Amino acid sequence: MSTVNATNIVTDALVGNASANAITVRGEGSATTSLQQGLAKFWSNWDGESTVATRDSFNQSGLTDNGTGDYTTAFTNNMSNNDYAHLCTCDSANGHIMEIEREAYNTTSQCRSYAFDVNPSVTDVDVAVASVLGDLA
Amino acid sequence: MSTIVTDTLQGKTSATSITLPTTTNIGSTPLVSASANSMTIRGEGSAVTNIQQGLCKAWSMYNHSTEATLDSFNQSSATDTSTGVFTWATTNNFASVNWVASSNLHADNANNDVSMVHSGTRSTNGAATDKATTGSSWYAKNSSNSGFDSKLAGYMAFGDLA
Repeated sequence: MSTVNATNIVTDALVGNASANAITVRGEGSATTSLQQGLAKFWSNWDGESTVATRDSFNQSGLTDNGTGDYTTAFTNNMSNNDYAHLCTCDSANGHIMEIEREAYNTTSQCRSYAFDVNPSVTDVDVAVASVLGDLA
Repeated sequence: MSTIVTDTLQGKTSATSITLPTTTNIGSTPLVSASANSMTIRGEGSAVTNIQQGLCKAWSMYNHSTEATLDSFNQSSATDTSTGVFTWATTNNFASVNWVASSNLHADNANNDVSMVHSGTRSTNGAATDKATTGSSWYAKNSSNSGFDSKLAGYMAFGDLA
């Protein structure tokens, strides 16, 4: 194993050497962790009320309002499978919570989030947030 | 392949500048900073952020109904403990119990599911354990505050590795 000692590395892209898809980073202690696996592959913050609109996002190609409290966010770069960790949340007004829509709706190209209140009844939410960790295609 | 054995390389035109080929192989090189545990990366603007602190240290999508881990990172095992409760263990442990995590379930109308929380916050769940450096237990509950096995129980954890 070679070691590069440097204060600053100036580059636009990082690619693994032994394996293009695996770069190891030493963590806060002595253990190492995977750079690729630790990166969020998608995140989005959107307004889910009457005029549904994305406030900010990463790796999102589209946002679809499927109906009350039901949103689909599409990826620009797809995932390799639909087993990724999709987590979503929303503002807490009226006991709102947001969860993964039924399992069949999450695909390699999109994930679907579903908001409802404490009753529970589906509801539109002002602040909706989703993120994905997993394997890119 | 020839070998140059030297202690110092010096540029000819400029003593402090040497041009390397477009592709220069320097072996299999993990990124290790001078302080080993702290590397920075310039963010989207002018500020810099910490790579180690920003990386997710563990994540998983678990089907509690079939007790199968669909996909995961830094999870050595996920075990059914009781209805609604499963315990996951890390491959590489955390440095302390002060790591943070968020979780999610799939919308299950039949169960009126509400949320998934660290089961260590509840004392009535039998074998469920408090959050530890080696993992934790999660408890999926419905609107009646009863546990149920979710088909999609996901979590992600951030914090300091040991």
